[in-house]
Amino acid sequence: MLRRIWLTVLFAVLLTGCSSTPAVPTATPGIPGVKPVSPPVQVENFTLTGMNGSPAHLKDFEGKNVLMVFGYTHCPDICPVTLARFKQIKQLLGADADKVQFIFVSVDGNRDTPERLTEYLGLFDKDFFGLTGSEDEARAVITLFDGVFTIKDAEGLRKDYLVEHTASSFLMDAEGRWVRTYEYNTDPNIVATDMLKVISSPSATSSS
Amino acid sequence: MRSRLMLLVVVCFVGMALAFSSVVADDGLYVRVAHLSPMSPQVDVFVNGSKVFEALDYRAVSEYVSVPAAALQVVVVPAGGEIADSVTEAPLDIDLAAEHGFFTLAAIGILEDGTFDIILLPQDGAMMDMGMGMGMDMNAPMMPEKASITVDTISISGAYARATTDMPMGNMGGMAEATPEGGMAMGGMAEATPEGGMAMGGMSMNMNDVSAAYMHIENTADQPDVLLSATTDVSDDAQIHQTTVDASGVAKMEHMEGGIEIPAQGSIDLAPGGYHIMMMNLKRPLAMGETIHLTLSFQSGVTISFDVPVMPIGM
Repeated sequence: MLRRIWLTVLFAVLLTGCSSTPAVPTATPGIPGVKPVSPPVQVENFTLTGMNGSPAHLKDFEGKNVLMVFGYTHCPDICPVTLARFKQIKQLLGADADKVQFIFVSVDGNRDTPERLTEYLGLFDKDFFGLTGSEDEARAVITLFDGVFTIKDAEGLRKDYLVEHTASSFLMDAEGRWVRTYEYNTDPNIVATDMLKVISSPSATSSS
Repeated sequence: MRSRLMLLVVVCFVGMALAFSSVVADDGLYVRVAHLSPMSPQVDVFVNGSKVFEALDYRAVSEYVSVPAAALQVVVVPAGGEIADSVTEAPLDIDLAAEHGFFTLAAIGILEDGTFDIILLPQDGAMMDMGMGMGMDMNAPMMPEKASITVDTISISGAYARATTDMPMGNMGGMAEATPEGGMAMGGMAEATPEGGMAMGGMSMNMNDVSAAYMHIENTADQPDVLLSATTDVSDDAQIHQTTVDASGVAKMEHMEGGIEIPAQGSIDLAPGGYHIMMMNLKRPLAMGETIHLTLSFQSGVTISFDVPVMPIGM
């Protein structure tokens, strides 16, 4: 009997808790893995190469919230995990997912051609957008988010070199302001919940 | 208040996990355990007298395991414990009341205030019928079972490699057959015409040439052991690596040239974002549904050769 009651309660919670407007608390500062950028930083427009080989600008995504991460397609461990989480986040956002553009910026333009990026991101979600560019171009962009990367190929001899890179994701609101940094291993539920808050009330982010 | 909110979030999470599990017609009975009891330690779970789930952390959801009968006697113990260490006074009796299907047991409540319990969630397949499927693909191939093997003092469990293509192996074969040049050898087809090559291209298109293998390794010996090296049939370049993310959020990878020590009577986890067997310059794409061969060498002289299933890249 007791079990049945539990089940009913659990079910009710499931139904309400997972609807597209989650009954999750208004986030308070100090959620682990979520770093509000206070005050938000207007990100200056930049230009890299898109997946079709043409120049792509940050401005092209104006009006959408942008969740951006830096990585490279030869990344064996962290990047696939991050992109799999992006996919989960997209699913968790439900109907609001179309207000978000997920962007993967390569820090390995040497190997990450637009074609390769298209293939790689297609493994996760056809809507993910990839940007690539020269080492200097990528460095200029990652610096906008206080990120760094280091190509571990000092002599320029290896073809299977690794790249150390900032693994956090960065959220820009619809007005192109950087409002959040999510640490790389933050639970997709926490990220999605926090993103919904930003999506629904962009102005609220300036005060948090 | 806070714990209630936490429960809400957790339950929502589990709801998603349920919704995403691929459920296909199968004759067997399968259960998995979700550890949703805050402030409880890592636990092992015995079902009908044998330990079937090990070292589940709070919020972890186990793999499905096959159970022989619907009547289950479940005992939860702190990780490493025996049945006698049960956290409840008596074993918990659960009746799945079904002859086949996939079920989830959720450990809920708080141990200290006596609200700890194990509940049976609605049959996973039934969730779908109630409109909670959330876009589940009924034709999705069933997730392969992760590999386990024990040799002497080393026990490996939960071993898998990450796929480098999003096509299940079966589909790849199907595509080759579906081409007009059906009878031709695959290699010849790729060279023959650009059109014929498209099907092949479809296969290699979604290819990445690097992957990683993950697992839990337990050392039952009274001395520490060291995982020294790994080799595999799919790469000549397999190395033991560790990913670390520093305080500023920068991910770094380190080649563990001296291997990884496994404490006496202890264990290590090779998991995303930590230790892993990195396999570079893959000889072929890895598709879900196939296996790769892995050989691990330990300082104690133990060598383990086994087949590891390939799991979807999106995991």
